Amino acid sequence: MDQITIYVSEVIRYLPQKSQSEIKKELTTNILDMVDELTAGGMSEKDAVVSVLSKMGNPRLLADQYLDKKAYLIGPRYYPTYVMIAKIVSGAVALGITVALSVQYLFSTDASIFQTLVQWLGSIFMGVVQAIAWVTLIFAGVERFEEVGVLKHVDVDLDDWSVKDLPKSQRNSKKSDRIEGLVGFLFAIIFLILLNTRLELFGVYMFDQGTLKEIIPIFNMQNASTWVPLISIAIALNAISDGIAMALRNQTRNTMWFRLVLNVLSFIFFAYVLINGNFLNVDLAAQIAPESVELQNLWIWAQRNVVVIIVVVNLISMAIQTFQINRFNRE
Amino acid sequence: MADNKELLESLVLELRRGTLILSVLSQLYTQEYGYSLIQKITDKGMNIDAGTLYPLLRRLEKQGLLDSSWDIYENRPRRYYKLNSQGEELLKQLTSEWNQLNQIISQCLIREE
Repeated sequence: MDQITIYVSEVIRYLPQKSQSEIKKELTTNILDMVDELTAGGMSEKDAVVSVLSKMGNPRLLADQYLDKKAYLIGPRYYPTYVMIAKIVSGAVALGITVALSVQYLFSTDASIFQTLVQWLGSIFMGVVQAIAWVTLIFAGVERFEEVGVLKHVDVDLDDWSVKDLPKSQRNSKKSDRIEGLVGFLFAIIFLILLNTRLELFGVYMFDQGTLKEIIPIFNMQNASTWVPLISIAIALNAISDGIAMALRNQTRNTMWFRLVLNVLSFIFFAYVLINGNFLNVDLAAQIAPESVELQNLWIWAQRNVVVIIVVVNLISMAIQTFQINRFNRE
Repeated sequence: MADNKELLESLVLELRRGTLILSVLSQLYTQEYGYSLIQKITDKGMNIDAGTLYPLLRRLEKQGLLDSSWDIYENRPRRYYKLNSQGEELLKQLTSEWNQLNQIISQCLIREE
Protein backbone atom coordinates (compact mmCIF):
# COMPACT_ATOMS: atom_id res chain seq x y z
CA MET A 1 0.00 0.00 0.00
CA ASP A 2 2.84 2.33 0.89
CA GLN A 3 4.51 1.95 -2.45
CA ILE A 4 1.24 2.61 -4.24
CA THR A 5 0.69 5.81 -2.27
CA ILE A 6 4.18 6.98 -3.09
CA TYR A 7 3.77 6.06 -6.75
CA VAL A 8 0.48 7.94 -7.08
CA SER A 9 1.85 10.99 -5.31
CA GLU A 10 4.82 10.90 -7.69
CA VAL A 11 2.40 11.03 -10.60
CA ILE A 12 0.14 13.77 -9.33
CA ARG A 13 2.89 16.14 -8.25
CA TYR A 14 3.35 17.02 -11.92
CA LEU A 15 -0.34 17.69 -12.41
CA PRO A 16 -2.33 20.88 -11.84
CA GLN A 17 -3.72 21.29 -8.34
CA LYS A 18 -7.34 21.12 -9.37
CA SER A 19 -7.13 17.66 -10.91
CA GLN A 20 -4.76 16.17 -8.31
CA SER A 21 -7.24 14.79 -5.81
CA GLU A 22 -9.52 13.28 -8.47
CA ILE A 23 -6.70 11.54 -10.28
CA LYS A 24 -5.22 10.40 -6.98
CA LYS A 25 -8.46 8.65 -5.99
CA GLU A 26 -9.08 7.18 -9.41
CA LEU A 27 -5.55 5.99 -10.03
CA THR A 28 -5.26 4.44 -6.58
CA THR A 29 -8.43 2.44 -7.09
CA ASN A 30 -7.33 1.30 -10.51
CA ILE A 31 -3.96 0.16 -9.23
CA LEU A 32 -5.53 -1.65 -6.26
CA ASP A 33 -7.91 -3.42 -8.67
CA MET A 34 -4.97 -4.59 -10.73
CA VAL A 35 -3.12 -5.77 -7.65
CA ASP A 36 -6.22 -7.67 -6.47
CA GLU A 37 -6.39 -9.46 -9.78
CA LEU A 38 -2.82 -10.69 -9.40
CA THR A 39 -3.14 -11.71 -5.74
CA ALA A 40 -6.34 -13.61 -6.57
CA GLY A 41 -4.18 -15.58 -9.00
CA GLY A 42 -1.90 -16.58 -6.14
CA MET A 43 0.81 -13.94 -6.23
CA SER A 44 2.01 -12.36 -2.98
CA GLU A 45 0.79 -8.81 -2.46
CA LYS A 46 4.34 -7.44 -2.46
CA ASP A 47 5.16 -9.00 -5.80
CA ALA A 48 1.81 -7.96 -7.21
CA VAL A 49 2.41 -4.31 -6.30
CA VAL A 50 5.87 -4.37 -7.86
CA SER A 51 4.51 -6.01 -10.98
CA VAL A 52 1.64 -3.57 -11.42
CA LEU A 53 3.74 -0.47 -10.77
CA SER A 54 6.41 -1.65 -13.20
CA LYS A 55 3.73 -2.12 -15.80
CA MET A 56 2.39 1.38 -15.20
CA GLY A 57 5.88 2.69 -15.83
CA ASN A 58 7.69 5.87 -14.98
CA PRO A 59 5.39 8.19 -12.96
CA ARG A 60 6.73 11.16 -14.86
CA LEU A 61 5.66 9.70 -18.20
CA LEU A 62 2.26 8.73 -16.84
CA ALA A 63 1.82 12.30 -15.60
CA ASP A 64 2.67 13.53 -19.10
CA GLN A 65 -0.12 11.37 -20.49
CA TYR A 66 -2.56 12.95 -18.07
CA LEU A 67 -1.32 16.41 -18.90
CA ASP A 68 -1.79 15.83 -22.60
CA LYS A 69 0.50 18.73 -23.26
CA LYS A 70 2.75 18.88 -26.24
CA ALA A 71 5.92 17.19 -25.11
CA TYR A 72 7.92 19.10 -27.67
CA LEU A 73 8.77 22.73 -28.10
CA ILE A 74 8.48 22.99 -31.85
CA GLY A 75 6.64 20.36 -33.84
CA PRO A 76 7.40 18.91 -37.26
CA ARG A 77 5.14 21.40 -39.04
CA TYR A 78 7.25 24.36 -38.09
CA TYR A 79 10.61 22.70 -37.50
CA PRO A 80 12.14 23.21 -40.97
CA THR A 81 11.10 26.86 -41.01
CA TYR A 82 12.34 27.27 -37.47
CA VAL A 83 15.78 25.93 -38.32
CA MET A 84 16.01 28.11 -41.40
CA ILE A 85 14.94 31.28 -39.59
CA ALA A 86 17.25 30.52 -36.65
CA LYS A 87 20.18 30.16 -39.05
CA ILE A 88 19.36 33.32 -40.95
CA VAL A 89 18.75 35.41 -37.85
CA SER A 90 21.98 34.15 -36.26
CA GLY A 91 23.84 34.97 -39.46
CA ALA A 92 22.30 38.43 -39.64
CA VAL A 93 23.12 39.12 -36.00
CA ALA A 94 26.71 37.98 -36.48
CA LEU A 95 26.99 40.12 -39.60
CA GLY A 96 25.51 43.15 -37.86
CA ILE A 97 27.89 42.81 -34.92
CA THR A 98 30.82 42.37 -37.30
CA VAL A 99 29.88 45.50 -39.23
CA ALA A 100 29.41 47.51 -36.04
CA LEU A 101 32.71 46.42 -34.52
CA SER A 102 34.66 46.81 -37.76
CA VAL A 103 33.49 50.38 -38.13
CA GLN A 104 34.26 51.03 -34.49
CA TYR A 105 37.75 49.56 -34.88
CA LEU A 106 38.52 51.39 -38.12
CA PHE A 107 37.62 54.74 -36.69
CA SER A 108 38.96 54.45 -33.19
CA THR A 109 42.49 55.50 -32.44
CA ASP A 110 43.24 53.43 -29.37
CA ALA A 111 41.56 50.04 -29.90
CA SER A 112 43.94 47.10 -30.22
CA ILE A 113 43.16 44.39 -32.72
CA PHE A 114 43.35 41.74 -30.02
CA GLN A 115 40.92 43.56 -27.78
CA THR A 116 38.52 44.08 -30.66
CA LEU A 117 38.79 40.42 -31.65
CA VAL A 118 37.96 39.27 -28.13
CA GLN A 119 35.06 41.71 -28.01
CA TRP A 120 33.91 40.48 -31.41
CA LEU A 121 33.92 36.82 -30.37
CA GLY A 122 32.16 37.60 -27.11
CA SER A 123 29.52 39.76 -28.75
CA ILE A 124 28.86 37.21 -31.50
CA PHE A 125 28.46 34.43 -28.96
CA MET A 126 26.04 36.44 -26.84
CA GLY A 127 24.25 37.80 -29.86
CA VAL A 128 23.74 34.43 -31.53
CA VAL A 129 22.59 32.81 -28.27
CA GLN A 130 20.06 35.60 -27.80
CA ALA A 131 18.94 35.44 -31.41
CA ILE A 132 18.33 31.69 -31.21
CA ALA A 133 16.56 32.09 -27.88
CA TRP A 134 14.18 34.65 -29.32
CA VAL A 135 13.47 32.69 -32.47
CA THR A 136 12.83 29.58 -30.37
CA LEU A 137 10.53 31.52 -28.07
CA ILE A 138 8.54 32.89 -30.98
CA PHE A 139 8.15 29.52 -32.67
CA ALA A 140 7.23 27.81 -29.40
CA GLY A 141 4.64 30.54 -28.99
CA VAL A 142 3.28 29.92 -32.48
CA GLU A 143 3.04 26.21 -31.70
CA ARG A 144 1.11 26.91 -28.48
CA PHE A 145 -1.14 29.60 -29.86
CA GLU A 146 -2.04 27.34 -32.71
CA GLU A 147 -3.34 24.91 -30.14
CA VAL A 148 -5.47 27.65 -28.64
CA GLY A 149 -6.69 28.54 -32.09
CA VAL A 150 -5.50 32.12 -32.28
CA LEU A 151 -3.39 31.43 -35.33
CA LYS A 152 -5.93 29.32 -37.16
CA HIS A 153 -7.17 32.26 -39.21
CA VAL A 154 -3.78 33.73 -39.91
CA ASP A 155 -2.71 30.79 -42.01
CA VAL A 156 1.00 31.18 -41.77
CA ASP A 157 1.14 27.55 -42.64
CA LEU A 158 0.03 25.70 -45.68
CA ASP A 159 -2.96 23.69 -44.51
CA ASP A 160 -5.72 25.98 -45.59
CA TRP A 161 -5.13 25.65 -49.29
CA SER A 162 -7.51 25.29 -52.14
CA VAL A 163 -6.93 24.95 -55.86
CA LYS A 164 -8.11 28.55 -56.13
CA ASP A 165 -4.82 29.50 -54.50
CA LEU A 166 -2.96 27.98 -57.42
CA PRO A 167 -1.82 30.61 -59.91
CA LYS A 168 -2.96 30.19 -63.55
CA SER A 169 0.55 30.01 -64.87
CA GLN A 170 3.87 29.07 -63.42
CA ARG A 171 5.23 32.02 -61.53
CA ASN A 172 8.81 32.98 -62.06
CA SER A 173 8.84 35.60 -59.37
CA LYS A 174 8.65 33.06 -56.57
CA LYS A 175 12.36 32.85 -56.07
CA SER A 176 12.94 36.56 -56.38
CA ASP A 177 10.22 37.18 -53.78
CA ARG A 178 12.09 34.99 -51.39
CA ILE A 179 15.45 36.58 -52.12
CA GLU A 180 13.89 40.01 -51.77
CA GLY A 181 12.47 38.89 -48.45
CA LEU A 182 15.85 37.56 -47.36
CA VAL A 183 17.66 40.76 -48.27
CA GLY A 184 15.05 42.91 -46.55
CA PHE A 185 15.13 40.66 -43.52
CA LEU A 186 18.94 40.70 -43.21
CA PHE A 187 19.04 44.46 -43.70
CA ALA A 188 16.35 44.99 -41.07
CA ILE A 189 18.14 42.85 -38.47
CA ILE A 190 21.48 44.55 -39.05
CA PHE A 191 19.85 47.98 -38.93
CA LEU A 192 18.03 47.04 -35.73
CA ILE A 193 21.27 46.02 -34.04
CA LEU A 194 23.13 49.13 -35.12
CA LEU A 195 20.24 51.40 -34.19
CA ASN A 196 19.99 49.96 -30.71
CA THR A 197 23.66 49.54 -29.90
CA ARG A 198 25.74 51.86 -32.07
CA LEU A 199 23.48 54.78 -32.87
CA GLU A 200 26.46 57.12 -32.90
CA LEU A 201 27.83 55.38 -36.00
CA PHE A 202 25.10 56.93 -38.13
CA GLY A 203 26.65 60.25 -38.91
CA VAL A 204 28.92 62.34 -40.97
CA TYR A 205 32.50 61.26 -40.51
CA MET A 206 34.77 64.28 -40.12
CA PHE A 207 38.37 63.65 -41.02
CA ASP A 208 41.33 65.84 -40.26
CA GLN A 209 44.34 64.89 -42.38
CA GLY A 210 43.32 61.32 -42.74
CA THR A 211 42.35 60.58 -39.15
CA LEU A 212 38.84 60.62 -37.86
CA LYS A 213 38.18 63.71 -35.80
CA GLU A 214 34.58 63.08 -34.89
CA ILE A 215 31.32 61.61 -36.07
CA ILE A 216 28.56 64.18 -36.25
CA PRO A 217 25.35 62.28 -35.65
CA ILE A 218 22.59 62.46 -38.23
CA PHE A 219 20.06 61.50 -35.61
CA ASN A 220 18.91 63.39 -32.60
CA MET A 221 20.84 61.63 -29.83
CA GLN A 222 19.27 63.54 -26.95
CA ASN A 223 15.79 62.08 -27.27
CA ALA A 224 16.87 58.77 -28.78
CA SER A 225 15.07 56.89 -26.02
CA THR A 226 11.74 58.20 -27.25
CA TRP A 227 12.04 57.42 -30.95
CA VAL A 228 14.44 54.44 -31.17
CA PRO A 229 11.94 51.98 -29.62
CA LEU A 230 9.18 53.08 -31.99
CA ILE A 231 11.41 52.82 -35.04
CA SER A 232 12.64 49.45 -33.76
CA ILE A 233 9.06 48.16 -33.59
CA ALA A 234 8.44 49.46 -37.10
CA ILE A 235 11.55 47.72 -38.42
CA ALA A 236 10.75 44.51 -36.55
CA LEU A 237 7.25 44.39 -38.07
CA ASN A 238 8.77 44.89 -41.47
CA ALA A 239 11.32 42.17 -40.74
CA ILE A 240 8.54 39.72 -39.83
CA SER A 241 6.79 40.51 -43.09
CA ASP A 242 10.03 39.98 -45.02
CA GLY A 243 10.69 36.87 -42.96
CA ILE A 244 7.37 35.39 -44.07
CA ALA A 245 8.16 36.13 -47.72
CA MET A 246 11.51 34.47 -47.22
CA ALA A 247 10.22 31.45 -45.32
CA LEU A 248 7.31 30.48 -47.53
CA ARG A 249 7.88 28.76 -50.79
CA ASN A 250 4.47 29.76 -51.98
CA GLN A 251 2.54 32.65 -50.62
CA THR A 252 -1.18 32.32 -50.38
CA ARG A 253 -3.61 35.21 -50.51
CA ASN A 254 -3.88 35.07 -46.73
CA THR A 255 -0.16 35.35 -46.15
CA MET A 256 -0.05 38.26 -48.59
CA TRP A 257 -2.80 40.01 -46.65
CA PHE A 258 -1.05 39.25 -43.41
CA ARG A 259 2.15 40.79 -44.74
CA LEU A 260 0.28 43.85 -45.93
CA VAL A 261 -1.23 44.31 -42.47
CA LEU A 262 2.23 44.06 -40.91
CA ASN A 263 3.57 46.61 -43.36
CA VAL A 264 0.72 49.01 -42.70
CA LEU A 265 1.29 48.72 -38.94
CA SER A 266 4.99 49.26 -39.45
CA PHE A 267 4.24 52.28 -41.60
CA ILE A 268 2.03 53.78 -38.90
CA PHE A 269 4.89 53.58 -36.39
CA PHE A 270 7.31 55.00 -38.93
CA ALA A 271 5.01 57.83 -39.89
CA TYR A 272 4.38 58.71 -36.27
CA VAL A 273 8.10 59.07 -35.58
CA LEU A 274 8.75 60.90 -38.84
CA ILE A 275 6.04 63.43 -38.13
CA ASN A 276 6.29 63.83 -34.35
CA GLY A 277 9.57 62.26 -33.49
CA ASN A 278 12.06 65.09 -33.83
CA PHE A 279 14.50 62.31 -34.60
CA LEU A 280 17.02 64.09 -36.81
CA ASN A 281 19.90 66.18 -35.56
CA VAL A 282 18.68 69.71 -36.27
CA ASP A 283 22.17 71.17 -35.90
CA LEU A 284 23.88 68.76 -38.29
CA ALA A 285 24.68 71.40 -40.91
CA ALA A 286 25.85 73.93 -38.36
CA GLN A 287 28.12 71.32 -36.78
CA ILE A 288 29.65 70.33 -40.12
CA ALA A 289 30.19 73.83 -41.44
CA PRO A 290 29.13 76.60 -39.07
CA GLU A 291 29.62 79.34 -41.63
CA SER A 292 27.81 77.79 -44.61
CA VAL A 293 24.27 79.15 -44.85
CA GLU A 294 23.63 77.13 -48.00
CA LEU A 295 24.38 73.87 -46.30
CA GLN A 296 22.10 74.79 -43.43
CA ASN A 297 19.31 75.64 -45.83
CA LEU A 298 19.89 72.37 -47.66
CA TRP A 299 19.64 70.43 -44.39
CA ILE A 300 16.39 72.19 -43.47
CA TRP A 301 15.03 71.33 -46.91
CA ALA A 302 16.23 67.73 -46.61
CA GLN A 303 14.69 67.25 -43.17
CA ARG A 304 11.35 68.43 -44.41
CA ASN A 305 11.42 66.33 -47.55
CA VAL A 306 12.85 63.10 -46.21
CA VAL A 307 9.58 62.66 -44.36
CA VAL A 308 7.57 63.21 -47.53
CA ILE A 309 9.79 60.90 -49.57
CA ILE A 310 9.66 58.06 -47.06
CA VAL A 311 5.90 58.37 -46.68
CA VAL A 312 5.38 58.39 -50.45
CA VAL A 313 7.73 55.45 -51.03
CA ASN A 314 5.94 53.44 -48.36
CA LEU A 315 2.51 54.27 -49.73
CA ILE A 316 3.63 53.22 -53.21
CA SER A 317 5.05 49.93 -51.94
CA MET A 318 1.82 49.17 -50.09
CA ALA A 319 -0.19 50.04 -53.17
CA ILE A 320 1.96 47.61 -55.17
CA GLN A 321 1.33 44.92 -52.57
CA THR A 322 -2.42 45.49 -52.75
CA PHE A 323 -2.23 45.35 -56.52
CA GLN A 324 -0.32 42.07 -56.32
CA ILE A 325 -2.96 40.58 -54.06
CA ASN A 326 -5.63 41.63 -56.53
CA ARG A 327 -3.75 40.17 -59.44
CA PHE A 328 -3.21 37.01 -57.42
CA ASN A 329 -6.98 36.75 -57.03
CA ARG A 330 -7.55 37.01 -60.74
CA GLU A 331 -4.77 34.71 -61.86
CA MET B 1 17.14 -9.07 -39.16
CA ALA B 2 17.15 -7.65 -35.64
CA ASP B 3 16.59 -4.23 -37.15
CA ASN B 4 13.64 -5.54 -39.06
CA LYS B 5 12.06 -6.83 -35.90
CA GLU B 6 12.42 -3.46 -34.19
CA LEU B 7 10.94 -1.73 -37.19
CA LEU B 8 8.04 -4.16 -37.23
CA GLU B 9 7.38 -3.51 -33.57
CA SER B 10 7.29 0.22 -34.01
CA LEU B 11 5.05 -0.05 -37.08
CA VAL B 12 2.64 -2.39 -35.32
CA LEU B 13 2.54 0.04 -32.41
CA GLU B 14 1.72 2.82 -34.84
CA LEU B 15 -1.07 0.75 -36.41
CA ARG B 16 -2.62 -0.07 -33.07
CA ARG B 17 -2.41 3.44 -31.78
CA GLY B 18 -4.86 4.60 -34.40
CA THR B 19 -7.40 1.97 -33.42
CA LEU B 20 -7.14 2.50 -29.69
CA ILE B 21 -9.81 5.15 -29.34
CA LEU B 22 -12.21 3.16 -31.47
CA SER B 23 -11.80 0.09 -29.29
CA VAL B 24 -12.18 2.08 -26.08
CA LEU B 25 -15.27 3.96 -27.21
CA SER B 26 -16.87 0.80 -28.53
CA GLN B 27 -16.81 -0.77 -25.06
CA LEU B 28 -18.45 2.14 -23.30
CA TYR B 29 -22.10 1.78 -24.26
CA THR B 30 -22.41 0.44 -20.73
CA GLN B 31 -20.59 2.18 -17.93
CA GLU B 32 -17.18 0.91 -16.92
CA TYR B 33 -14.45 1.97 -14.53
CA GLY B 34 -10.77 1.96 -15.41
CA TYR B 35 -9.79 -1.57 -14.59
CA SER B 36 -13.03 -3.22 -15.66
CA LEU B 37 -12.58 -1.59 -19.04
CA ILE B 38 -9.06 -2.93 -19.37
CA GLN B 39 -10.33 -6.43 -18.67
CA LYS B 40 -13.18 -6.04 -21.11
CA ILE B 41 -10.89 -4.87 -23.89
CA THR B 42 -8.25 -7.49 -23.11
CA ASP B 43 -10.89 -10.23 -23.15
CA LYS B 44 -11.70 -9.22 -26.69
CA GLY B 45 -8.07 -9.76 -27.59
CA MET B 46 -6.87 -6.17 -27.72
CA ASN B 47 -3.91 -5.20 -25.56
CA ILE B 48 -3.97 -1.86 -23.83
CA ASP B 49 -1.63 -0.33 -21.27
CA ALA B 50 -3.19 0.89 -18.05
CA GLY B 51 -0.90 3.90 -18.28
CA THR B 52 -2.39 4.74 -21.64
CA LEU B 53 -6.02 3.98 -20.88
CA TYR B 54 -6.55 5.93 -17.66
CA PRO B 55 -5.37 9.26 -19.02
CA LEU B 56 -7.19 8.54 -22.29
CA LEU B 57 -10.50 8.18 -20.46
CA ARG B 58 -10.11 11.59 -18.86
CA ARG B 59 -9.16 13.07 -22.21
CA LEU B 60 -12.21 11.63 -23.94
CA GLU B 61 -14.36 13.01 -21.18
CA LYS B 62 -12.77 16.43 -21.58
CA GLN B 63 -13.52 16.24 -25.28
CA GLY B 64 -17.16 15.76 -24.42
CA LEU B 65 -17.57 12.17 -25.61
CA LEU B 66 -17.91 10.49 -22.22
CA ASP B 67 -19.80 11.22 -19.03
CA SER B 68 -18.40 10.11 -15.72
CA SER B 69 -19.69 9.65 -12.21
CA TRP B 70 -18.27 8.47 -8.90
CA ASP B 71 -19.66 5.43 -7.18
CA ILE B 72 -18.73 5.82 -3.53
CA TYR B 73 -20.87 2.98 -2.20
CA GLU B 74 -18.48 0.22 -3.15
CA ASN B 75 -15.53 -0.65 -0.93
CA ARG B 76 -13.39 1.56 -3.12
CA PRO B 77 -14.65 4.75 -4.70
CA ARG B 78 -14.80 4.18 -8.45
CA ARG B 79 -15.15 6.53 -11.30
CA TYR B 80 -17.42 5.16 -14.02
CA TYR B 81 -17.32 6.28 -17.62
CA LYS B 82 -20.01 5.92 -20.27
CA LEU B 83 -20.61 7.21 -23.77
CA ASN B 84 -22.90 10.24 -23.91
CA SER B 85 -25.05 11.08 -26.95
CA GLN B 86 -22.25 13.00 -28.65
CA GLY B 87 -19.90 10.11 -28.03
CA GLU B 88 -22.38 7.61 -29.45
CA GLU B 89 -22.83 9.72 -32.56
CA LEU B 90 -19.08 10.01 -33.05
CA LEU B 91 -18.57 6.32 -32.46
CA LYS B 92 -21.10 5.53 -35.21
CA GLN B 93 -19.25 7.74 -37.66
CA LEU B 94 -15.90 6.37 -36.60
CA THR B 95 -17.20 2.84 -37.00
CA SER B 96 -18.35 3.44 -40.54
CA GLU B 97 -14.97 5.02 -41.31
CA TRP B 98 -13.31 1.95 -39.91
CA ASN B 99 -15.45 -0.42 -41.98
CA GLN B 100 -14.68 1.49 -45.15
CA LEU B 101 -11.01 1.56 -44.35
CA ASN B 102 -11.06 -2.11 -43.63
CA GLN B 103 -12.57 -2.86 -47.04
CA ILE B 104 -10.16 -0.58 -48.82
CA ILE B 105 -7.12 -2.03 -47.11
CA SER B 106 -8.32 -5.56 -47.81
CA GLN B 107 -8.61 -4.64 -51.48
CA CYS B 108 -5.17 -3.11 -51.43
CA LEU B 109 -3.68 -6.17 -49.84
CA ILE B 110 -4.86 -8.55 -52.56
CA ARG B 111 -1.76 -9.30 -54.53
CA GLU B 112 -2.32 -8.91 -58.23
CA GLU B 113 -0.36 -11.27 -60.41
